Amino acid sequence: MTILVVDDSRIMRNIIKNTLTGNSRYAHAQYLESPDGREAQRIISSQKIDLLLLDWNMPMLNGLELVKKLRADPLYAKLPIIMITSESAKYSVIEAVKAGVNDYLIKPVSEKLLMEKLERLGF
Amino acid sequence: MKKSRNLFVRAAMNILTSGDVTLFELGQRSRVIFLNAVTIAGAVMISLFAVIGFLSGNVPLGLACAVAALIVSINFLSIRLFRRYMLGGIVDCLVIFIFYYYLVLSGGEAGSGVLWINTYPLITLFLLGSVAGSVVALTFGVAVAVAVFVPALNAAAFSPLYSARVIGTYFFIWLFSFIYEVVRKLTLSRLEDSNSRLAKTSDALQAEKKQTDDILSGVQEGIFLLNRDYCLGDVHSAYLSGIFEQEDLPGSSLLDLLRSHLPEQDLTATADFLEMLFGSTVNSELLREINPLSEIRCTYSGEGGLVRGKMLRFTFARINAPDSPYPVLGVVSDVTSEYELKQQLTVEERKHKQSMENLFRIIHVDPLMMREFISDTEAELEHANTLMKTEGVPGEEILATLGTSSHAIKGNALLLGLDEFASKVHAYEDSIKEIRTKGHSWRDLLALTVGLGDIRTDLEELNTLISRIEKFQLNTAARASGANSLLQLSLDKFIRKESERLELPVHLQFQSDEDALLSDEYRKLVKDVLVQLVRNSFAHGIEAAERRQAKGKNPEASISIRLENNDDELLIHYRDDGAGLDLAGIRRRAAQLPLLAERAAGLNEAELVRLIFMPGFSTAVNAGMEAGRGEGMALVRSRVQEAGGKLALKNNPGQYLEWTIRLPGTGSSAAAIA
Repeated sequence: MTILVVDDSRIMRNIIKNTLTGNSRYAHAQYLESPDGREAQRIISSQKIDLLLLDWNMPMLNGLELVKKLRADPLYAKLPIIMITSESAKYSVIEAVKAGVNDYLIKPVSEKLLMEKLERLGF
Repeated sequence: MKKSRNLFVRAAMNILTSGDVTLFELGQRSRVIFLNAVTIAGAVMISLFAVIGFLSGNVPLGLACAVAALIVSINFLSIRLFRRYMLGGIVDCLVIFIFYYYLVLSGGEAGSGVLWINTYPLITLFLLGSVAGSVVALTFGVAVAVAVFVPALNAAAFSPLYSARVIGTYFFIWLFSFIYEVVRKLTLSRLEDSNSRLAKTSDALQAEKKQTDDILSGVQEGIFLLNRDYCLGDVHSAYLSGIFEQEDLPGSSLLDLLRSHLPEQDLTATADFLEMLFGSTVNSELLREINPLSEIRCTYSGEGGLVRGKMLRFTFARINAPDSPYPVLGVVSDVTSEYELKQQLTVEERKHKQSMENLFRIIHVDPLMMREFISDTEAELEHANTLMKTEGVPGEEILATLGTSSHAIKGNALLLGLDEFASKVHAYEDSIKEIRTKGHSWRDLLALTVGLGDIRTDLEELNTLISRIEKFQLNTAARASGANSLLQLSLDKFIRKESERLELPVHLQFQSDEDALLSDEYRKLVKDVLVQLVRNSFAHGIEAAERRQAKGKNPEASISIRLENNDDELLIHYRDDGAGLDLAGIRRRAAQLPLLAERAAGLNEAELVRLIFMPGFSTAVNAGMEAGRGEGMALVRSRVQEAGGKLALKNNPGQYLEWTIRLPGTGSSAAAIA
């Protein structure tokens, strides 16, 4: 399983990665990282990704725009995406779900919630 | 015309039904009608035969017919009188039996008598039922067969072949009548069965509907179904009308129902959410999490044009029936009181936190200082209160006084570390400021009075706490040291606290003449003024340690205060070695004010300095706890002026700011004696 973690904060990327590798289920997954949406898009188009954990506010190409771009491409219409962001307003969440994210997590990331959401997506 | 016809029809029906109004069952009713019709027709016909018999000279026939007609007529009457319909039927069948048999035996006109027999199976079956009727008709058929086959009895002298045809036809008719009657009875019983089943089902349905109705009318939640246009279904709980404050909900769109009660942004989110709810791409769990109506504040207009807020909680569930016209079930409840309770709880918690904090502070602060704070604050509150109660005082003046008073109270609270209390007063100041900028009405002033009452309540609570604590606390040191050292102590404490909070190292030098004893009157004035000056130093004058070092100053700033009694005067020297007044900043700020904008560039130094005493003037961008309202300096000036004192200021930009305040000697106890 290949998981791509996209967040402009290196610390945040590490937190997410460590949370996942701390659980035996996800300890042996391959982790890829990207600090912005544009690089993430490049990674996604160059190799197979099973799960995308995506921040919203990032330089170059923000998370929401990336989701929209991916969903517009039939190749990535089904790619599981969880948005992990500090945008907590009701309409932000709805905007993201409308754009096509499979699930939504508000920072700070709770390990329990993240695991729940991954399980719900079948990971 | 119509009426008379109706009357005729009703009379005829009355005769045919024997005037029996209890005949509701259709089968029984038609049987009685048939019975009466046969009886009447029989009576008329047999009477006719009697007349014909007598006229043709056939007296025995005439007589027989007359007797039969009489019997039938009596039967008609007895049917009507006794309503023994079966008995009437038996009598009819018997008379017709004899009469028809007579017609067969007599041969009738050109042998036509035998033709009448074919009606007999129908009559018996109808009047006596399928079993008795068929037996009687069969018996009759056998008797007729005897009559037509035995030559001696065969008056019409039918050939045996014709007799066989007559009997064949009769039994044919008998058989079909019998079959018809049996089928009719079976059909009838089946119909009755299904009728009773239907009635039972209908009863069950009625009972179920009653239960559903009871639930929908009694439940304290709004329950409704939504179709694909987000419109409400025909059935909903009665409570829903109360929630939406609207009757006639079926068919209305949920979005329309919410439109004028929700902010635009929430409405857009709701529309998006409903689209996803009716779609299939987003799973139900996620939908439940992102439901924007899970706790939503809706505004409704109340009495007198006031706006009323209601907290509503909506939950939605997809109905798992494919092609259902209403695929979503919605439940909404009014959680306003629950929400208010929650908020009240938060307030209570905060209150609790405040008393804990108070307790902590009181333990750590000298009770005398606390007492002093309370009596000072009470005095401020009293002053403000009196002003508010005095008639004819302009609102603007009340607001100005409330502004300076609460500012002073806040300063003193911070001095003692009563942060919660101070932040409450800070919020109160905010509302005063807001009212001052937008213009005030009597209602605003009322709200401020209430706010003042709240502060007083908190103060009383504090007072109670102190009384309790005092019992346990030894405070000999402070008690011995008197008012001045108390002032020094509290200022020192305040400066240390602010210094720590703002990360600006500051050292206090406090000097007081032995005889610069403060009277009660001045004690408060001097403290108020000094607190404001200290706050001003922290907010505007004292630079960060690095900056001071860069300028070649001691990284630790110093504030020096000296109280002197001098020729019937109380002199207060205050000096901080900070950056002094930021004249450029004051000029910039002045340029932004509508009244000063034009003159700002031309103001000289003295004029700029004067600006800092203008109520509401501040160079701080955001009002924080330490500064920014522009009230502090105004407070200093008004307090000093009220006491008939004078105020001088020496600004050495980059080096220091020095204040000299002269108060007339009446305030000092020494002068009071002189």
